[in-house]
Amino acid sequence: MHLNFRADDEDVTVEVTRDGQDWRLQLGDRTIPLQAVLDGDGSWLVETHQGRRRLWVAVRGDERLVFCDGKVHALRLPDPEHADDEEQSGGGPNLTADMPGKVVQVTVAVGETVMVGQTVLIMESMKMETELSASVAGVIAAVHVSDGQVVAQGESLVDITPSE
Amino acid sequence: MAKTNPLETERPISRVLVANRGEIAVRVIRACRELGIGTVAVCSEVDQDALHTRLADQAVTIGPAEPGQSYLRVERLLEVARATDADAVHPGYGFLAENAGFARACQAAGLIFIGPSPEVIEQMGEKTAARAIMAEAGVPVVPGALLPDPDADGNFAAAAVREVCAGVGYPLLVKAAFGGGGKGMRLVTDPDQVVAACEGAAREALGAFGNGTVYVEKFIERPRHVEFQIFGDRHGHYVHLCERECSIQRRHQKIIEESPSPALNPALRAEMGAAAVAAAAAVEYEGAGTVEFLLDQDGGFYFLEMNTRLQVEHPVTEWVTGTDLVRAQIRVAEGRPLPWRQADITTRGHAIECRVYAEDPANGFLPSLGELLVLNEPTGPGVRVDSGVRQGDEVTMYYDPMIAKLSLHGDDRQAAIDRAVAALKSYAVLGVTTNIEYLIAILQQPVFQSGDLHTGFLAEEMPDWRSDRGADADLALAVAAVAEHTRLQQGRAGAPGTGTAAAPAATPWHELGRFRLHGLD
Repeated sequence: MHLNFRADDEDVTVEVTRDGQDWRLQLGDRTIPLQAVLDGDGSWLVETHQGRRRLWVAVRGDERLVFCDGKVHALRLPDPEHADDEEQSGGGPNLTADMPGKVVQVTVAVGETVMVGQTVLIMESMKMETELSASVAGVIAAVHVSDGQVVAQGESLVDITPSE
Repeated sequence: MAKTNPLETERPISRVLVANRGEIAVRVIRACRELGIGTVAVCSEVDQDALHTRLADQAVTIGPAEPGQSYLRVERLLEVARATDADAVHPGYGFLAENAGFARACQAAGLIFIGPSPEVIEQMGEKTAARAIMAEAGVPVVPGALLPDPDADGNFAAAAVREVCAGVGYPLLVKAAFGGGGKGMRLVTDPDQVVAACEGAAREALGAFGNGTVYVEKFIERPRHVEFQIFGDRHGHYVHLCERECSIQRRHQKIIEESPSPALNPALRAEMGAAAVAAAAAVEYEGAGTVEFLLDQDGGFYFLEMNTRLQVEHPVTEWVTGTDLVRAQIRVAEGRPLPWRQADITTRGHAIECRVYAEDPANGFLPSLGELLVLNEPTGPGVRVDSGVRQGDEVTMYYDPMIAKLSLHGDDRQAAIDRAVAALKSYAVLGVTTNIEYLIAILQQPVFQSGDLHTGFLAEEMPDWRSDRGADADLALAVAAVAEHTRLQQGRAGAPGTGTAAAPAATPWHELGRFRLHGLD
């Protein structure tokens, strides 16, 4: 996922890759690997190679406010919902792989009619199964993968033609 | 010395009307609850969901947000006291706390006013009268003297002026008797300049105020603000509970207070404490009060004013003396004797209070208004938060933008400072700009740490302070991205928890929203 932040009048694109609690954040030519869990009190418990930190994040319109060790970082995130729709599995009707993994089972066939929320295929990533479902009602236009196939992040999985 | 009036026996309080809002109302309500005393909160229309409103046994809405139409309405408050069958009123601080007319009206309505008598409030509210009373009682006041009148051409008799000024001592200030705002004021360090300075000040005062009378006052260089907590009862007992140093001020308002003062040794503490007790005895003070002194660099101290109420910074005194000042206020107001004698009062360790404000220290300390989207108060041993707000509450333009008082206790000053810094670093407030980063910077400033304080400290040592977010900018950006990714994923999964706090858990409590309790009207 790409997020286009604006910090101190500078545009920074952050590429986010997630693998369970392991995250990789690409900021220009810098890569920050970290582990992050959302703690019970709403704070983010974050572990980087520099150690463990606790941060708080709040949303106010297109602002993202981050509290870290007594300091507040104010970032802007104009229009995150549409920033990278085409890459998102959930954004449009067509499904793509959110992260690298293996197709466990394709549960639909071309020409089949699907309803919103109907499971289309089962993926396995990070030793966890995820069900991907249709975000629109429609007809399966194409199936690009088959059972057991290993796919890369962003790879097309299933195309759906929305019903009128 | 006992002056017990046989007609004035003990009168237990059963229900207190808390004529205030915010953290101090919360503080009073808690003390009442511990004593088994009922509480009535009053609130303005915008405070109907406020913490103090919710915490009291009952709450009454008394008017619109503007204090003049709600918290300052004496008649309305008395009406509420009558309607709710309250038998006492606690004014907190601010609002009507030092309003003699309110104290008098409470008495006339048969209510116990938890504070000193209206007469004392009146006397101490008039600064020149207070100064005269204190001087009479032997409490040191800033030395000063009137000057002999000049001749018709505005020339002073040089020898007489020099003699008066030598008696006051240098450096001194020449001040306009009817002036203000710095006009007609001259700082004189050289005795040879004093006559010219007096003539110049008199000319300026005449032009500005229509009266050229000037007087001289000793100039206190780099003074510390050191105040003594005093307490009295109607049985003739007067004690002090040691000092608080409040030299860290921005725009003449305290933001960090501590006890003990780094400047006092036991001998000076005893001397100043005795003066504070003399001040309390001079006016037969009843309840909690504060005697403020200026302390000069040589250990000379001068009466500044007396505050006839509970002070904002009372928690630091409670920390080091192990007392409960609000409980004692209520007991004394019931007519009981003070719970402690001077010999019972000792101090242990060191306490610091930081006032957490919704304001921007990098921009003239302008208040910052808005919703508290995230509010995470620190906890732990020796950590106390006196707060009147919760997460989701609004900081509005109508009231003081103080979010809370964070007070800390440690074995010694350094331990208290370390504890304060650690607590502030985890005091997450998002949604309004706060002074948290500024407070940390003060606490870590070498001169502050050395204890060499004076009231000009912030202006002198930290002018043009700016936030410095450099070190963790990348980490903050990374975690913002992590939170956003999580938020968007949950949004896609149809989870409802995509709201403001970036906390995804969608429990029924979140979905309920805020419900309203209505007051009596």
